[in-house]
Amino acid sequence: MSSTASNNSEATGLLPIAPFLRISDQGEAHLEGSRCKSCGAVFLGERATCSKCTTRDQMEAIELSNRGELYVYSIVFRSFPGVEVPYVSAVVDLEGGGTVKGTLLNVDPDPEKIRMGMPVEVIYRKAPRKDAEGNEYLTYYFQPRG
Amino acid sequence: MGSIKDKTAIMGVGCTRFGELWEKDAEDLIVDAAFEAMDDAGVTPDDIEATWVGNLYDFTGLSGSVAAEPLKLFGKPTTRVENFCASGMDAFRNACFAVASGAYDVVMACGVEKLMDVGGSGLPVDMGHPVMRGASAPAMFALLATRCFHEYGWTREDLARVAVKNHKNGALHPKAHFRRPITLETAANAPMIAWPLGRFDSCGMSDGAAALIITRPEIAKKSKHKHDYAVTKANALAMNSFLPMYRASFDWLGFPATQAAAKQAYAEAGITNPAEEIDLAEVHDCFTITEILNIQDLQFCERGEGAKFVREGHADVDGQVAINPSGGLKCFGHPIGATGCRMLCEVTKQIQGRAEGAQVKNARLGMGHNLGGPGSVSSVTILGLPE
Ligand SMILES: [Zn+2]
Repeated sequence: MSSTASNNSEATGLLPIAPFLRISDQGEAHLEGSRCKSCGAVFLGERATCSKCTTRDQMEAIELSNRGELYVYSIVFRSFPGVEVPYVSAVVDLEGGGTVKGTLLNVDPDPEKIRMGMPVEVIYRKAPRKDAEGNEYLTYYFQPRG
Repeated sequence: MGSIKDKTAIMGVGCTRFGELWEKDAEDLIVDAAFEAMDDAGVTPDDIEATWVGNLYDFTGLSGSVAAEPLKLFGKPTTRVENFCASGMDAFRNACFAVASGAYDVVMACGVEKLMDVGGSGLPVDMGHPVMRGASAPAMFALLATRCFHEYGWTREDLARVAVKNHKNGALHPKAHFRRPITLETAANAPMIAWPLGRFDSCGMSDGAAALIITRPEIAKKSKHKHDYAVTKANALAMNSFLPMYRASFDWLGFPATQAAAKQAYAEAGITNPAEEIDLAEVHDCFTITEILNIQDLQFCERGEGAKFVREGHADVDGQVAINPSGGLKCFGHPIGATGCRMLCEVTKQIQGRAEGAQVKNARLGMGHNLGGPGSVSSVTILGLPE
């Protein structure tokens, strides 16, 4: 809770790192998803057609939960130039629907310390890199939830 | 729905050595592969009526010229095919359908990739994002490995066994990139790339090209290989989502694209018991975990039994289904656009009993399989002897 709130205040003026990361005028960040009014399926991001039941124009935008469970991970020891390693790459199933990949922070990069199904929360932080024009971005991470 | 079964024949095959071929460019490689295939088939460039070329990373804007320029195939159709790691096999598939339609008598399918000229120590991934770098291929495929460890109790040693087997096979093939056998200890204790995938769990970066000359059986019957030409039993391709990491339905325990392509291929070829009927399979072992999952997805064993299949020797050259007798992507190499064609050259020669590396005894039915994306596309081709 505290980590999320403290970060949102600094979100103003930052660009969202992905289209599904929404920042309100008040600087509140959340992950946006869409729910099918026909079959109830939930997806990350905006879409016009349900890829579960293929119904068109029945998708409504929803705010995805900041709570979820770790489904799978890997610990990345070698990556592209400029990417700090090691880091934990994770796929998380959010409460109420939505599956999203991101970096899991505040865990030891050790398979003994990472548990499948462990409760995690989504947190928002300024991205470590600026783009070519000097713009700064707000990004999302996961961390273990107490 | 119709079927391609027994309607197209392989007249000849050609493949370059794979490796870090600094002394050759993509044009040299495609010329080497294409002329070896044409010599094998007993045809000349004038006989080639149309060409399909698989190529992924040469973002040069060259299109069909990737093959038409070096081979001077002017005044005739050449199409560049791009479909992730299935690019080469999809070029073959398109070529087969063109011949089967009766539009052409003799065509070429080929593929080439000059990865050394792309730069970098891994496949370049540019998601077009201003600050995000994208995930490396090992980081993506590692996700399947950790989930399988969790579900099935597989270990690093199970992965290492695949590398040991493929190095053993690759060591025997004169055209393979990596030609040294390794021990289980070497593979299992190698430096980590993305847990649990270490250096020997990943295929390398290679240059290379491969080509096949395709015709109809009635023409093959009068050709140089009239006594030992291979025919196509199935040509399958299946797509799946490009973004499995955003899909709740993706279980990270296998690839739906491969499962779908295998199902199509077996229906087309009339195969009901793949492990019994197929003698060898060149499968897409971009990573050791991928080979184990391919073995399951291609129905050579039950889900969860892939590691055991390898452990018990069923994937060995003299096993139930020889998996990657060439050394696979791991050791033969993986120049993306060339890989699918390279596999089908290998399968053809195995069926003809003239494998350049380890020969599978009495090989009569063989498979080539690609997976790309990761998981976005899979192609499965089955080759055999004429009825
Ligand atoms: Zn729906």
